[in-house]
Amino acid sequence: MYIVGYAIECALKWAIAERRGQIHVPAELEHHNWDVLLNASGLTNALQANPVLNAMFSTLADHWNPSLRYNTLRYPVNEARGLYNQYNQLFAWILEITI
Amino acid sequence: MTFKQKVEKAVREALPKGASCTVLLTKSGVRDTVIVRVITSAWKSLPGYIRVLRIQNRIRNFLSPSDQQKILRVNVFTPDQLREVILHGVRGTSSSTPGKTVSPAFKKLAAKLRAAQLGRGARKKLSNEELLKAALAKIHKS
Repeated sequence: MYIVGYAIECALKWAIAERRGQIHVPAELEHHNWDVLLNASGLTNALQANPVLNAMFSTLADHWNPSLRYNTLRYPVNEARGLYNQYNQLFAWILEITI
Repeated sequence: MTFKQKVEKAVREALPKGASCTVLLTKSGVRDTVIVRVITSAWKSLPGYIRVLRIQNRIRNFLSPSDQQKILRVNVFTPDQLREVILHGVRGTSSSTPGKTVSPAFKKLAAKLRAAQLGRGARKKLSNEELLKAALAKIHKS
């Protein structure tokens, strides 16, 4: 859960760099606030046009933070699978829409 | 009717009849938008994003486009989920990470709950646990 959340964050930061034609993300965006990163990536409107993914983003944005690495044993298997699938769908969407 | 009242009305109409809820609006950090967080026991067996979708759809139908633009996103918690996140946060599992860590967004939520509680005439500064017990007791009455 921890790693897959970072995958989302990295994808968002990659989308920002792509949008700006830069290799590195600007220093002011070196944080973990997905709302701000999504906005800077220019993907907010596209996400809001997809209500299901938008709802997934909202639950995951509140669910994930870097401290999750201390939390790896807390999820029942079914819940972990469900969450992983949501992270995966969101990750795939960011890649697809950015490429 | 204020913006917050409109949001609360939309949320209450989306929920099953008789279901109680607490609606929190917090600044998102993106322009002047807010995040709507709903705490309710309704639909607790459903996945989180399905609960969000139901509220999201109702808000879309109920609020004017200009009011909708003020909302960045919506999230729905069961009282247990909120308690887990605010009270327990993510516990350290090694001696190098003792205690609890809570994300900034939920520190803001806890502060908001505290402010709301103090506004109701509480004389002392309450701990997060006391605040949540009060908030959760209210929610669990339903």
